[in-house]
Amino acid sequence: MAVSTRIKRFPVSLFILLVSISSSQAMANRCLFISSYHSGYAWSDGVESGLRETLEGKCDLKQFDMDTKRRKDEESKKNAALEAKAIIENWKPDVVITADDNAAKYVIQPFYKDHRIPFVFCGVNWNVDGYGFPYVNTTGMVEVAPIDALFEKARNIQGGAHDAIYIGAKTLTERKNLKRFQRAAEKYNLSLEHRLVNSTSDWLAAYAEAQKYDFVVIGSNSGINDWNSESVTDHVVKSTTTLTLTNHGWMMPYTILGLTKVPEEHGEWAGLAALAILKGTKPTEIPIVSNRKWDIWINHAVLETSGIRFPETLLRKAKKVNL
Amino acid sequence: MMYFRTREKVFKGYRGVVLWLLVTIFSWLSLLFSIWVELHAVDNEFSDRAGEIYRTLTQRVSSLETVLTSLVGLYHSSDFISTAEQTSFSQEMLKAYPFISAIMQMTLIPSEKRNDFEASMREQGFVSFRLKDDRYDSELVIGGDGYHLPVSFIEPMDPLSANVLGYDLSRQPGAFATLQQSIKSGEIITFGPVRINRSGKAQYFVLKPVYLGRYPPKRAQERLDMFNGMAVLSIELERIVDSLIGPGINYDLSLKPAYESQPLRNLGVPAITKSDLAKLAVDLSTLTYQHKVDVYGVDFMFTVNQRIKPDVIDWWKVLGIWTLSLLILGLAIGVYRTKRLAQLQEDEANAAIEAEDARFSHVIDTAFDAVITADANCMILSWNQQAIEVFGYTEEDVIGLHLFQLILTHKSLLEATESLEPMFKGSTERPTGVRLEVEGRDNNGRKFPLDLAISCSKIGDMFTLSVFARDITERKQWDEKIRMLAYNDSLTKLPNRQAFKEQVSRAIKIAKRHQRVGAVLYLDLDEFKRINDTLGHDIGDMLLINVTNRLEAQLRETDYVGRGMDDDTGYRNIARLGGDEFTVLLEDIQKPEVAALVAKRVQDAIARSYNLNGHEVYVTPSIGIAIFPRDGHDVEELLKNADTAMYHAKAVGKNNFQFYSEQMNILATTRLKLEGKLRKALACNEMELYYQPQIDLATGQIVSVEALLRWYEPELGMISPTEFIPIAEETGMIIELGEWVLNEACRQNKEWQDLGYSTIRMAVNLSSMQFIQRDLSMKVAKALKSSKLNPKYLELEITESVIMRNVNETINTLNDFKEMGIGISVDDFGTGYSSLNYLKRFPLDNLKVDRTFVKDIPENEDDVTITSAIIAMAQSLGLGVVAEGVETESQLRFLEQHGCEMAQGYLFSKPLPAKKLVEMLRLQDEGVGLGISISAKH
Repeated sequence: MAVSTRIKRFPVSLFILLVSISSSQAMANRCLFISSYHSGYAWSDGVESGLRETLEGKCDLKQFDMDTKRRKDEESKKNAALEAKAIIENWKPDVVITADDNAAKYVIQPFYKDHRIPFVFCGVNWNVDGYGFPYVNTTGMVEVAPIDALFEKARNIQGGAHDAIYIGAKTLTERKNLKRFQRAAEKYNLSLEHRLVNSTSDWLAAYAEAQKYDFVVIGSNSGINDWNSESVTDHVVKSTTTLTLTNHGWMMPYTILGLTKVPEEHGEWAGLAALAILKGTKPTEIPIVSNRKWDIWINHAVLETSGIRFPETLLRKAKKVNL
Repeated sequence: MMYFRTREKVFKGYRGVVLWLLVTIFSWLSLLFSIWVELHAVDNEFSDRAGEIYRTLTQRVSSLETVLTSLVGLYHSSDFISTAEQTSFSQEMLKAYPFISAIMQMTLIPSEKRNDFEASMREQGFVSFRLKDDRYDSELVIGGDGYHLPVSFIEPMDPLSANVLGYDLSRQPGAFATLQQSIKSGEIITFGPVRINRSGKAQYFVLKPVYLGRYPPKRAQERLDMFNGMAVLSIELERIVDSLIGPGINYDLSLKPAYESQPLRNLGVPAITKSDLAKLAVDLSTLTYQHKVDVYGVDFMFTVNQRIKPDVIDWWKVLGIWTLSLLILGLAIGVYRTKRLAQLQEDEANAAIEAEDARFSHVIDTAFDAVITADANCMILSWNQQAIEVFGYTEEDVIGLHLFQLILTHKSLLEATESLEPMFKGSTERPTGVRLEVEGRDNNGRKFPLDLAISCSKIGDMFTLSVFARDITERKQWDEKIRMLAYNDSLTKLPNRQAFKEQVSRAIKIAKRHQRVGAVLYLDLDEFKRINDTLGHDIGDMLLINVTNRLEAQLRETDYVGRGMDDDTGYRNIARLGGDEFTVLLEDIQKPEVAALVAKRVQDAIARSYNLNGHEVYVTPSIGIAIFPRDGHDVEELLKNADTAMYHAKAVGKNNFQFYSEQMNILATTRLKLEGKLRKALACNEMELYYQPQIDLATGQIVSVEALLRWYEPELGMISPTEFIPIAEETGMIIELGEWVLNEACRQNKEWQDLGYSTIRMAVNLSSMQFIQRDLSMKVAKALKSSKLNPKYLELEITESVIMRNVNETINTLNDFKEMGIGISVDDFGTGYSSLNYLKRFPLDNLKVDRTFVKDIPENEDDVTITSAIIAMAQSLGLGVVAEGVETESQLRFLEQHGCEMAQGYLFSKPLPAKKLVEMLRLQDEGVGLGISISAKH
């Protein structure tokens, strides 16, 4: 009697085992993260960090860096895109997360528009019109800078400020950023000039010139291949006399006040969207949103040189940059 | 025993069944009660905890206002709030109030600026932003202009909640009026449920208006004009409920809109509101707490359920309560049992009392005694059936009459009254009683002896006399009969020893008291035993009756004899002590000589012949006289001394009377001592046989020896046969001694024969007691057999009186001896009464002429005549003759001359011990003569 009972139980046990195995396989969803840039790049690292923290234990995450920040030529970008595509086809991810514009531009747009594989993008600057988003298989977070807040701070610190200048690298991204600043300046009735440069010396020259403005908006140096951090820092600390502001955290060594975007916010959002998709939410049911967080940084070394007085509340609230 | 029977009855029958039913039901009920108590405790705990949860809920509802107020305050206090700042603030608030799902901001957008707003949002990165659902656009007018109220901010923003952005509350059905109310009043309102998208959960928006300006406007119109948007909190009911469930709470909580909820029930008490049994079962097994919650204009029903599962019940507590209940039940049963036991015992006791009463009544009614009760004044209270029969009065006749006046004679009434007096005195303390033998009388005047047992006891406050009366006429008669039997000799009707002793005892006391003298005559018939043995007991009895008659007749004639008893049954101063012993009590005889006169008369009266059934019998009395109080101060001593005197009379020749003297007492003592020694003599080898030769006068040879018993007592020396043989005969030891003599004599003769001496006969005397033994022949044969002596060498000597006592028996015995070859001699011939006719019939061999005749021959002519006649008669009968006591030559000559064949006596030899006789035999065998000249034959 006992033997027959065990025999009857055996198939049941086997079934339970198989179901368990299949369940565990089903839970091991594959998430492919395609970064437009490379590891070590502060922004990308922040995005990755937010993503990994969100997907930790919930998804089998695989990362592919397109490295388009360092290999800027079109050929390299396309090759990287092909590599990413190959990975997608071979690895067959359940969802693909992309960070920043190049991945959207070179991977999603050409190969996966309205594809069955869902895509979640993040870090795409300002808008997605250039890529034709949204597709039925895409959603994500657009990267916006806190321009209004930055202008509010500038006015708040430099009472009656009117003339401003934007300094950045001569890149597509910076052009898009500049455009946003220019629109905002109009809203705030500010005069905003700009200098987009390709080298450190040009940047230093532009910075020297910018000291006569009420405040300076420091754009990204990404794209200035000979960027010499030391000399720039040295120059900035010594020569700054006016208020400088930036939205990029990595530019804080050269800037007095920063209202910096938080890359982790992008990673976290992309991760949450990917998880929602894996749970059955269609990408179209997830609205494309923009980032909303930023941090306040003060570079006291430059601030002290400049002789500008900050409101006490701001001094207490802001994070300090350690050079 | 009754106690145990009662115990068995306590729960017997239907009570036992009911008890067990009750125990069973109570056990179950108490178990249910225990569970109910525990459930009640669980319910109370549940109610308390559910109430706490409810209060927490209301606090959280209140805190919604706190959060909203904070948000609105932030908007009012800040000129510019960036999205990041709004996000940061909201995140902190959500951390503090995690039950809030989301914090939102709805921004007032005039209808004409809708596109600009949407473009602005898309510019900020919300690339697909647009206001959702604008169906009622044309109907909405606020302050004369249409407006939108889209969600422009939400925190937390996640892929799902982000869909809320653009949600236009103003376009929701039913929202407008509520919004207007809130805008006008500035009050918080709740709107919902809202379900943003397909997978989203239902949410309720709690809104507080936000107005332009640093301070909230105070008038309604201002509020309408200054309205700028809404601070919104999104709450999910499930999330709030989840936040209420703390650790250790296993309750099912639900918060639902009131319209969806079931009717409110009583707090904490399961309410049965549905007929559906399944639902009912669920309800009964569930503890429910419900409370309505007003969340800013929307009613919710907060429900807390707890399924009653085994694990929510503290079974140890249930067990404890149950055990306590059972203990109480056990206690109750114990109390009931005790009471029931007491009741049963009381019932049984009552029943026993009733039964006892019935038995008592029955006993009273059927009693052999008249049972009468009376009060302290002796007035009759009850009168039983036997009383009717004894006294002849019915109960109706006697109730209320004086008891003792009714049933007693006058004389007895006085006696009874005197006796009862102390009883009444003592009855106050304890029951007292008295027993009286009085003279009663019945209704016919008949007087009779009456035995009264009267007891007096106090029952309650009343003294009651209980009287048991019995007519003892019959008993008195029986008593007298018994007394007669106890105190009188059945044969002679004379008082017996006991009665006589009482008489004597009384007489001694009187004599002592009055200085008088009395006497006791102790009378024994001489030879009565012989008469009894020879003529039989019937003749003996007749003789005793005749003696009694003569005694009575004789004593009746004398003036000296007083009456022993005060009745008509006869002279009680004569008594028969037993056998042939009579006593006579003589009281107040003045002097001892009177006793002698009476004794002489008695002696003379008795010593006359009696004709008893044709037998002419002659007896004489031996009388001992003891004078009292001189010869004895008590009965025993007096009788003993009289007896001693009587023995002395016998000792001195019988048929006389003797006064007791101290010397007699000494003799009697000596005799007693001798008797004691005699009993041990054989065992101590103190007895020895002496042999006296019998000489054939023709040959001068010893032809026979007579065995004579001798007793040598170490202390007293040689004791004469005349001293101890009578004692042996009186005590019966003669039988044993006779047997010993017979055996020893046979053995000795055989021994002599074996030693080679000339054969002689051995003559052995047989006493009268031996001779009447029925197995005498057998004993003789046994002696011969054991000694191997030829019977012809044995000769048995039997006295004349013994031979003649019972002729028929004697012939048979003698024939037996003769057949064995044993010789037979008649001893002491001439002293008794012999019938020649009988002598002829007896198989005799010799006659032995008694020494009393031989002693005085040839001088005494009478003896010469008698001896000559005896010799002649023997010769004529063909019998041999042996002369005894031959002591002189002249005697020998005479005997020889008259043809006497054998002789024995001191002339030839005194009795000799065996050793010396052997010497004589040896000398005779050697031809040496005895030294006596037997001239006639030579």
